[in-house]
Amino acid sequence: MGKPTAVYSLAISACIILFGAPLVHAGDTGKCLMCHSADGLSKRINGKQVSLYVDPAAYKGSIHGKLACVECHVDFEGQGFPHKQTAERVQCSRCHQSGNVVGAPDYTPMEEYADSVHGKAVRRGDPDAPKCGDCHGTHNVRAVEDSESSIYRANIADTCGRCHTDLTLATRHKIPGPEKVRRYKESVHGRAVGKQGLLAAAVCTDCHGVHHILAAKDPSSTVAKPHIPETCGKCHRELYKRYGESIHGVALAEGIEDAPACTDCHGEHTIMRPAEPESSVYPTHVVATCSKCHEDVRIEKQFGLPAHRLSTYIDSYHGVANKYGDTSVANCATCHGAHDIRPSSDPKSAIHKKNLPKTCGKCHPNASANFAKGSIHVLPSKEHDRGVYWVRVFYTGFIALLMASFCGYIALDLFARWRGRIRRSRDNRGGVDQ
Amino acid sequence: MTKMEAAARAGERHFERFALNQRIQHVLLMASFFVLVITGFPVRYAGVPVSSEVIGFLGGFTARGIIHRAAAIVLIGLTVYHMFYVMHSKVGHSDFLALIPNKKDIRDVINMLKFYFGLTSDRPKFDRFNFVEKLEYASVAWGSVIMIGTGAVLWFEEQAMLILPKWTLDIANVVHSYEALLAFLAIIVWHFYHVHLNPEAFPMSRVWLTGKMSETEMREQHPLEYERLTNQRPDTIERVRPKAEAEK
Repeated sequence: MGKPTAVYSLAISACIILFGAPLVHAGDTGKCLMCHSADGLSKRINGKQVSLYVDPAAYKGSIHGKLACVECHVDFEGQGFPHKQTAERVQCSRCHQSGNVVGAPDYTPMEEYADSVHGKAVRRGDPDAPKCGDCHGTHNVRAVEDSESSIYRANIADTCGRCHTDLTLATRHKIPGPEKVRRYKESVHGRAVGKQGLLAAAVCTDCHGVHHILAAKDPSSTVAKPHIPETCGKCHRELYKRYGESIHGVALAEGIEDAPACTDCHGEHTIMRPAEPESSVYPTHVVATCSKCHEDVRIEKQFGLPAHRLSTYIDSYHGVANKYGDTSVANCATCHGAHDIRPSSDPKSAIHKKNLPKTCGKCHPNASANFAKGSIHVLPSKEHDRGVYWVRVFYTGFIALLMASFCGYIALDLFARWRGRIRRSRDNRGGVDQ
Repeated sequence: MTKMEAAARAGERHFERFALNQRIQHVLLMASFFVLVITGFPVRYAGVPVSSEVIGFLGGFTARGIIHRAAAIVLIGLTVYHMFYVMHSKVGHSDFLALIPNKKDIRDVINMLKFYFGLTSDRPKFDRFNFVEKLEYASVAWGSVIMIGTGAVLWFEEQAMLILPKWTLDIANVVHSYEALLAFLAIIVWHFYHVHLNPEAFPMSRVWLTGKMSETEMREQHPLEYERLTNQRPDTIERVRPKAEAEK
């Protein structure tokens, strides 16, 4: 077993020589650390080598630094020293319960935790499932507002990432892959927290919950589709309000899960500023983002959405310019709004006929009522946009007829030349003269 | 120029067909036309992969718009100049009058078809401009008016919509687009056949560069004009056959 075992034996011998075999009492932290401060102290438990080392400095600096070891490791209270039995799991809930008298926070997340994906996994006996100490730390546990704490806002992503970037764990438990944490760190939220130290920006727990983390497919999860607007709305209050009144917000609230929630347009862990080219709502990406649903035949039919919104936009000058990367032209959101999208029948809608001059006027300063006289999404047919339709029909026929005549004439001309009926007379090379 | 020199040595006379002024007008028209096509078609055919390459080559969509409008200014300027030219210059005016289609052109078309189908053994005799050339001139004139008119509406869409409803701009847009296609096809099929691809001209008629046509070609292609110049109005020969005659 080598060095750790040797150190362990030596330490125990030293303890016995110095103290005999006294009983361990509250306040005897120093005695415990006699052995447990030896770096490398470890023991084989259930076939796994487990470190028994306690960093005295980390412990002293922790929020429990003034507590004696046996106040948590109660199974050693009054036991002989050195102890022989393996420590039992520390029960944090011994103190962390409401109405406790020892001064622990009165907040009791134990029930929430027990109901969470993590708590349930622990109950199933899953050895990988995180318990209190896996997130909060054990001997080094610190308060949430302590910047050295593993649960300090700026450190949350790394703390969750310890397991959620682990491919082995991800595969074993079918949990969302390591990509998510990495992407989050590159997102507007991750950068704000990690690079700029803006602690108000969202960290994992703001959306997923703290102790009561549930799988997204669980209907009561904070990240289940119906709850997403509310979850994002915790910080984005004004947008939440506007979205709630929009056609999408109303539909989702009515239980129509095909209606988009925040993440359907903005992404989840990948959320970027709209002005960033990687963003799904960047001016040149909006079209594709809206089209995920507005070009979906099933959704269009089921909800009676007007068809051909994408193709008619693409055919317009706005659409063409947007396709070539011009960010100044109108995309879907420029006219329809982003969070406050309303149907054109709603007088408050930006695309209500009455409001069109004002909406167009955002870019076209002189926009008059004439902007509303005709379709915006031009869909030429015998019923709609007839002018454009018949002009197309006329030109198509005219061009076809003209080209057929031209080609026919040219064919006749070439045939006549081939038959020798017209002789070359361009210059005097052959002295051609008819 | 070796052919020209050979012709000059052979003592063949040359007739001036296009004055320098007209040749410059043609070059400006040609240049602006192709720039307008190159900068305009990627908008009409935005879904075609090569369009993106063209836009990239032009320096982006905004640059495309600027170049298109710059070429449009050249075309508009040329059109305005040309109107003054045909009204106020002697050559311009007489050529313009000669380009107006008349009943003979219809007879010429019929006779040409008769000739092609073997119903007659002689091609119709043309004057200064044949019906092909007249059709091309008329097409450029009408095409320019339509393209400049619809283009101006689309360029100044905000001002236009002070008077016009939005649907008229949609029509202007579709007309601009289809008329462009028509003009482009007319040029590459009709015009290119007559000045480049037909065996007589292949690979290219040089008249647009030199402005001159040989006596043989004149007799062959514009016999009525040739007769008129050489017999009825011999005094005009000085103007139409500058060098070869002068050197003698």
